[in-house]
Amino acid sequence: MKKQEVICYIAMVIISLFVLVPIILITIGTFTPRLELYKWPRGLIPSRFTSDSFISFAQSYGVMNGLKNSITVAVLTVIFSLLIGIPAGYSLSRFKFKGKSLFTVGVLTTRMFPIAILAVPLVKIYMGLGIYDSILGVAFIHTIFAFPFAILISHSIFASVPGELEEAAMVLGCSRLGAFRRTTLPLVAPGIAAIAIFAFIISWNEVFAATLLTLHNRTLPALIVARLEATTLDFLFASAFFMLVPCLVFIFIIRKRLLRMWGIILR
Amino acid sequence: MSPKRQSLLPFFLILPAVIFFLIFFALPLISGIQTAFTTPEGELTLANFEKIYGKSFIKAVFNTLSLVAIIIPIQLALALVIALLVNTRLFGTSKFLFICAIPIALSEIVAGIIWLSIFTEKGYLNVMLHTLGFLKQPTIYLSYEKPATLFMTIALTEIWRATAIVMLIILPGLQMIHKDYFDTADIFGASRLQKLRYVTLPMLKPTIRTSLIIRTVLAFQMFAPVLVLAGRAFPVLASETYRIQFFTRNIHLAAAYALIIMVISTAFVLFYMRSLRTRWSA
Amino acid sequence: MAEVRLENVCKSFGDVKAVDNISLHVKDGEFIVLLGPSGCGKTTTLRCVAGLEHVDEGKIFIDEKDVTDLPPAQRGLSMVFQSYAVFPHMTVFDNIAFGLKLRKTPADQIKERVKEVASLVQIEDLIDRYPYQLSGGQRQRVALARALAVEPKVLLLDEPLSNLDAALRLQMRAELKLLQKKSKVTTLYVTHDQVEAMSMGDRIAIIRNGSLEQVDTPERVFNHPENTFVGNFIGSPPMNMLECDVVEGGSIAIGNFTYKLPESVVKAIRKTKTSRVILGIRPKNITITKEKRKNAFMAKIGVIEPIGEELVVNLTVDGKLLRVIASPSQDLRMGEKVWLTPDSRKIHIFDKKTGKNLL
Repeated sequence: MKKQEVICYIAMVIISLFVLVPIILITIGTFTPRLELYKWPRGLIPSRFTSDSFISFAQSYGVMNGLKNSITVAVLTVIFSLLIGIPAGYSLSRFKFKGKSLFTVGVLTTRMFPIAILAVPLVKIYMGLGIYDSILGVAFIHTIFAFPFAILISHSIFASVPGELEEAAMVLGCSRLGAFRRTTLPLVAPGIAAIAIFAFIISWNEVFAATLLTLHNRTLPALIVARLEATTLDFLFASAFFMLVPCLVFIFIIRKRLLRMWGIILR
Repeated sequence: MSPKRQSLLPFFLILPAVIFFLIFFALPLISGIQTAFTTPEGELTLANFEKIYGKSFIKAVFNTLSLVAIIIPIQLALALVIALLVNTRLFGTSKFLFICAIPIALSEIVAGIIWLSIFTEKGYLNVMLHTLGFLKQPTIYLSYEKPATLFMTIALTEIWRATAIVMLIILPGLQMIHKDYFDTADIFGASRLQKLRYVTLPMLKPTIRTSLIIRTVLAFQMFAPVLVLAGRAFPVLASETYRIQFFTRNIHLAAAYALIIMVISTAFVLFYMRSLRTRWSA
Repeated sequence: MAEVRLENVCKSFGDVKAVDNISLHVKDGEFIVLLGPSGCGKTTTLRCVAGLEHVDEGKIFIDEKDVTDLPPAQRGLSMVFQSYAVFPHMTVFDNIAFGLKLRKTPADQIKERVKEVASLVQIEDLIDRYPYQLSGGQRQRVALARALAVEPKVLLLDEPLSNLDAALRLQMRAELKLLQKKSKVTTLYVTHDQVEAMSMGDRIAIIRNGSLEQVDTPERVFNHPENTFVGNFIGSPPMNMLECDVVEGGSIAIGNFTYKLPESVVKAIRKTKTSRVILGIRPKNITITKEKRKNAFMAKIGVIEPIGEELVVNLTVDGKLLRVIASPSQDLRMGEKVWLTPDSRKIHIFDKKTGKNLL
């Protein structure tokens, strides 16, 4: 091995540890007996591993409801983002039309705004619409986060499937919709699954807007923020671990597409 | 497939997106501006801005901007290092890339709690220092008496959480630079550093600009790590907006705050756009 | 089997007129090649016939039936695309069977038909593979089999050979032609390669800027180009074009020399009363001699390019470049002054203003 390679590997190990160690620590913390978290001196590895914190977190008031809300909001966000994003992405990739560049610029400007801050004026609008403190309201603002990504990513996924496939199917006897269903759709399905996961993660993680737009129907992150000042470490650790796990699973599923998806968003 | 129907199809397909954009993006934007400049009775006023202007506002602006000033250059440099390491394509770089990308899937609040478990009084930092024999009694890091320490822990949390975002923007940009440019530089005898200085960085400029815009905008809505680690001891713009909204219940004040965040962040975006313009690409 | 008729077809994209008033009659069983430089509108014309583009004006008939407003599926045709458009998520069998399935053909008949066309294009061994396991040439055959499986009335081919390497292209050219002759399917074939067009087409339709320049047999297109564009476009190296003034007594002026034209040519020029013409002559139809001949003009030899059995000799006459194909046995040198004699039976005279062939 060359000297430069050794340096590269050392750097990679250090950076990997920087990323991984905190995640390992929170995992240890979650499964440490509650009282040991407050003991001094205490060791890195607890005397025994227990899922007490985890269970008591899951059983505390509002958590299951928050979980239900979080999942509902995330699923709605996925559905809305796909319903809005896929047709638009398809349109951008297959047609030339007037206002196309204006539309693209509009989509891109959304990422130049701290969108979460829009939650403030939305409070007023939602009150007028009667969707303040509702699952649907949160899902809508999360969709605003997710749908530009859905448009840009699906645009590039569709662009990677040659339009000639659809044309060939049409010449051979398909209608426009039939051609899409039989050729493009099966080919883009994995990419669309990745978009769905992405939208899910965005919604599942979002704190600011969810906190501002709800009072009782809190999502999990909003619930934790509301409880911050009156809670214990074990509750927090367990909550973090609880929210972390599905994200780790999801990111593992889409790991191969991660780079390509982000590469698209930046252009 | 009549010619008319065909020409309307693309518009029909983007229609949901346009409607959604108008209702949930343009409308709140306009309504926010309007709310910020009116009293609850609906009169035009600047009083909202006068009311929020005070010690805590100045502190919040100062804190936010100093976080931006510290976090973003470090993240950019770190992201570039990670991207360059991944691009060496040594054995194991794909796993390394995956590890570095993990934080992108983590919530702000999860990141805050993770680092709380390290910096809290009986947290893992003190535990490790104790185990190694550096200290007997736990040091307190997260206290309103130590704004510098608070600042550092928040900055560290953000660097840990959001470098992945920058890296995942930089890396594809780096991989888009054609190998021929590096080969050309090699032929002329450029050293590694010279290649970085004269080939990589200039060609990455548009990518860097994009990552700066996205990252800075996100920094202005940063909120949860601050609340978790510092509570009210370290006000930033977003957390102050939240506090005003929830504790004064005055939506006009909150809207004024939100508008200020929008204006500052837009100013940053415009600054990046102007100062990092390239002649050879958009 | 069917005829295809285009009547005054127009198609624009924004301000660009891709197809500008094209009328074309393709006879039953004919192999017609649409030839032109890239961006000339030949592919758009083909896509209009397919129904993938809707024409702005004009009508398209297949077998006397107006198909102008019909979707591609109802036109009874097949198409092979430049990229082949073989479905990557289907096996070769499913690709070929695709059109048949849509037509609700019974399964056993599909099997039989797929086998039949697969053997026709010699891919019967590949039937269970996926496209990524195939070479470019094999994919091309799959696309062709898929197009033929539905027994189309009209077969459309859009530069089908352009993605193949040179050797394979030569082989497929012959096979395609044979296949077309056997199946007798009316075929429209788009290409920018004049050699392909000359060797395959029953007739060639030359298109420029969206308009038809000439529709004729390969022999006619080569020997009787209707205008300077066709003369220039067909043949390699291209036809020499010399601008000259008509002088008294049935001659034209080439630099300081006068070239006496045959009587029939003189008559044709007189009819148009034009005074400035373009003399077109193919590189093969000029003889180089070292000594002066009657009705010859002098030129200076420039670069000499050997191309195997022959030489392409670049010469300058009156400051203009001329190419002549000569035999290597002639001892020619750069810088030498020689005499050129055009074969008076093979010359073309074009009107300078309109570019039209006057003969």
